[in-house]
Amino acid sequence: MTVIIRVPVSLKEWFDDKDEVCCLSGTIDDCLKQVEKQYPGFMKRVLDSDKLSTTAVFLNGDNIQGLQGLDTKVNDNDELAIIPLVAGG
Amino acid sequence: MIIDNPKSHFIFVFHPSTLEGKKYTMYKGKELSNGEILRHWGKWLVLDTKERLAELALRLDPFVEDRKIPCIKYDRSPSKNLGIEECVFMVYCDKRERDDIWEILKGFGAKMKIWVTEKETMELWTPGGILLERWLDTQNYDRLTAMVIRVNAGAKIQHIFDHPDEIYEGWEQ
Repeated sequence: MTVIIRVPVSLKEWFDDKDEVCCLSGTIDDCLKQVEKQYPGFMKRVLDSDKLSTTAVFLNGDNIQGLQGLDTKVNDNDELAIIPLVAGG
Repeated sequence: MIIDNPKSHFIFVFHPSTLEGKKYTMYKGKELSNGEILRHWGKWLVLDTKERLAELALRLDPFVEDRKIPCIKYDRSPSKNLGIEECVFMVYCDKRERDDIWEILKGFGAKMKIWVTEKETMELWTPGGILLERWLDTQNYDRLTAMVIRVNAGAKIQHIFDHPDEIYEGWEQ
């Protein structure tokens, strides 16, 4: 069982033109690090130099900034979504 | 009903009563106060092409007419100057009803689950907030005009935080 990470078209290039990838459960930080191994540079793109200033990460719909940030636990079948922060302002 | 005014960046889906001045920021028939907006109001986002979102708007219009969805607005064109290639479709509702509305969206193919609270949005549009500052960067305003816009935005948002019991008046679009 795994966690799905989804991105919109504008970020698909991060994943070699795929709009979703998977990781194993743990914390969000663990998940992102697993994806980093597959797609080097991914973590830097998500976190930027200023910790989540240019992208927003959602766990099952909710922004992780309102949860426990990168320490938020993710379980099997959870879904992460990453979008450019400018979307939907 | 779909309100498509070419002069607006946004296309709206409203209940006809909204055009008669009725508010859509309601929960169980009661208008929400500023404090309730900050605690409960928000939107589901769907990111896609203009064409697909126009089709989604048509499919969701009956749900707005039935008052199951309070309001929808979406971009006429992507905000490419802000680095986004998709149009953004915003389905507004009270958090206490968001799960029912997500099921509707999922039924029409929505996959990415993205809930943005009105409070988060206000914080991004407050002076110094990322969205306000990036938007000002794209508008080529002189310093004085930009300052006036910051002051006005800050005052309006602060009023909402400072007057939680007043009925929410919304934003000009």
